[in-house]
Amino acid sequence: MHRIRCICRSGSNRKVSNPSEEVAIVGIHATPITKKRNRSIRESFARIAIATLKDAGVEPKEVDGLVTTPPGINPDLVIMYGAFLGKYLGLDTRMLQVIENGGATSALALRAAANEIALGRVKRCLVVSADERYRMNDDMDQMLRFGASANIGLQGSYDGIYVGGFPVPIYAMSGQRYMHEYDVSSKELAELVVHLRNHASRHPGAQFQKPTTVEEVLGSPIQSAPLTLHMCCPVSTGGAGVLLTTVTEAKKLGRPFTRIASFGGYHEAEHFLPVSLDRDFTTYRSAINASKQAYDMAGVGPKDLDVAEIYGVYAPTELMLYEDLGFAAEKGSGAQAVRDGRLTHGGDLVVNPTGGRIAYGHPAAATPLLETVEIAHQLRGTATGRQVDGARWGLTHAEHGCLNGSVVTTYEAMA
Amino acid sequence: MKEQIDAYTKRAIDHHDDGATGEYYRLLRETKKFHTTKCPKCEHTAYPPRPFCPACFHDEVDWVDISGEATLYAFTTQSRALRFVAPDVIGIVEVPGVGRIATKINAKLSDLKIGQKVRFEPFEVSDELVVHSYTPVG
Repeated sequence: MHRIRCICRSGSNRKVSNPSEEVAIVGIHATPITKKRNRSIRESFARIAIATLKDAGVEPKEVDGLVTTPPGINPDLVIMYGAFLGKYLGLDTRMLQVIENGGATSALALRAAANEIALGRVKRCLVVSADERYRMNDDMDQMLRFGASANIGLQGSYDGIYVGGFPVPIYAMSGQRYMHEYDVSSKELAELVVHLRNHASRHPGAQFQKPTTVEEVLGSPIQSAPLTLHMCCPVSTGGAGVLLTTVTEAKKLGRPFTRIASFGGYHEAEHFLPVSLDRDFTTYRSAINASKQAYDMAGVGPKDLDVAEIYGVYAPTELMLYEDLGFAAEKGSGAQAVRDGRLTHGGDLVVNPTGGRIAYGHPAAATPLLETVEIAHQLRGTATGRQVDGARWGLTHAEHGCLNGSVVTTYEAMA
Repeated sequence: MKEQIDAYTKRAIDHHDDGATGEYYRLLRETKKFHTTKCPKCEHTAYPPRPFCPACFHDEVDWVDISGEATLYAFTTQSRALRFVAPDVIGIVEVPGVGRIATKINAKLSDLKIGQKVRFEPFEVSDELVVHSYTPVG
């Protein structure tokens, strides 16, 4: 203590609050994942908020922070959605934010909420995210505007001209390079899908409940060569909610909870396509760098993990991520790790126990928060039917762009 | 339907013009050559073109002709061919000294191989819009 006083030269005696509270997840909820929506997204946000607070045993008036994500891909003009939702839910808050950044959207919403808790500005922060893809095909005029104009808005006035079927062709070409450079076969991609569908068959909320076969995966229609339909994530609707507080507060609840141990992030100066000749289509430095930061800040490594939920939206992408996040021995060995049973129950760690994006489903903006809910279930021992025995350390990975950006979060079980 | 898509495309390109986009498409339309921007200060060639240098933030750029040969890095088809007639073959080509660029490939998928040489060719989407495309050499 004496030493700390010596290096404090400001001469100020003002007392500041400790800016480093530890953050706990005390409430979680995930909707079932479906292709089409069965209610308005507005109602989804409300139902998720209600269920999340109920899971936490927290009253609405105790919530003083709300972080949300935009209400899905929706043709309506939506501004100030956070303010709308705050009113709709009847929540007075000290902090209100809407966060959006493609596939990393709700991972960044979680991070924004965790920061507020860690800084002591907010005591109980609700994070809600839902996404829907249903209205995209409502009418041809809308689809044309979306396809022709929005691609240019999204990908820029150059790439946007060519990649009308965005984002499948970009992932397909990344997959083609991966198969070319590391001698990975279509059969190995199909085996991965079979493995993920087996995981999903244990989750009652998964979009795909039935197991599949290598023949069925290879025989499904080609989306963008070399990807067949079943090697791609489906069109999905769904959402999730998380309630955060401090670890100190969480301990008063007297039941297991989850501590957020670290966040790591990295964004390459590339948008979807790694244009620069020194960048790679098959090794993603954003996943490597974001996970390294998350591992270092939590003081753990991939070998310490029991369970992970990662953003593998296409079969080759999932294999590359096993390698870049440190779950497989080396580049090109992702398929071997699956075949050896190292990434399922009884192996080194269970990756995507929900079935992941390919089998569980992928309501993109909400996907990272759905991953968080699954890890929280696993770490508190409530992942019925798919529980990883004695799970203590977990990880989630989210992506924006085509792996150009990653957010990695680590979690620890607390009793 | 093609006319409607072309009209929306042109409108979107104009709407997002940052000072470089308009010049880029004018050069394609009028010279039938593929140009991009290069920094006169640090000599970084940028693609997509910018009205500034993304390597050193110098705020003036020159236009350079990058038409010519490239190497096919990856290729695929799009089931949802919007702008070009199906089967819509697109690829990523490595343009020396510039980068890997998404483009239209003027060939059948089954005739293509990673690493083969391709050459720039202007492709007329409509009277108002010319884009880059690449055709296998030989």
